[in-house]
Amino acid sequence: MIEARDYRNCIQANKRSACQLEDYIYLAFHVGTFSTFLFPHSRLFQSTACLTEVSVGLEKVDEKSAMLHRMVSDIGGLPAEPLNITDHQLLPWEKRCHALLETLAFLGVMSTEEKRRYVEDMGQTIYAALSYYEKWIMTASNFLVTKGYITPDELAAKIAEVRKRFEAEQ
Amino acid sequence: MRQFKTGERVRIANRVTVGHVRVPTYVRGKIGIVDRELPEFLIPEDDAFGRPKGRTRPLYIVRLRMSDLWSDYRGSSEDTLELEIFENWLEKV
Repeated sequence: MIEARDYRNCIQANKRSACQLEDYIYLAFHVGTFSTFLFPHSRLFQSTACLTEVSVGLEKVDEKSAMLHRMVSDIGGLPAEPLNITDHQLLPWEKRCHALLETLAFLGVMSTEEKRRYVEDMGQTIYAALSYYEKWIMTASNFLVTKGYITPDELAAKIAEVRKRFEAEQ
Repeated sequence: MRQFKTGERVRIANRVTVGHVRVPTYVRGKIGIVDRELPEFLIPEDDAFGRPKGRTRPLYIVRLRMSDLWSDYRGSSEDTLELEIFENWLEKV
């Protein structure tokens, strides 16, 4: 839970640094907020194969009981692949995604815990299949739709528009 | 009124989880020692559902022995884990 404390420090630091806030807002809105839903850049479409490969196994013995105790993010002690700790570059869409979520947090629209809850609410199958930022961007979409900031129609229309533009550039 | 003091032995509650909590299952039911008393904060159970004016509870850093958490732990018996646990998840021992 170290990150919860870091988050508070981060928010306090942000309040002192208007410059940093402007950077976040710039990053999030420069390209138009909704073009952060630019899925073709992500590995989402390639990740269906992971569904069968990734196993975050709940105990088979008492699966229902385990599900009630353990949230999908609570994987401490479960069998897992070795950790990949090599440094990797964030993709542009991942940076924009991060900026969008930070902006929502800074504006007091969505707290870190709320974000985590939305991620968990995707359920085991989707949680295991999506990458870190794929979870975040799905969370942003679900949250903004749930709270009525955007409608599913608007989001779908924007994704279609961006996809068309993306495919034209290829 | 704070229920626990630094140095006190405490048990982390073992409950069925509904909604959003931040207490990992591998520490539930385990006994540790209060390492530090932290201020009160909004608890995740309320924060996660968009209730910024929800319940606040004192937060503690609790220290547990790694060998108490993992039966097959191969490191030193002195190795410990410290994590932040809200008061509503702690029980008197």
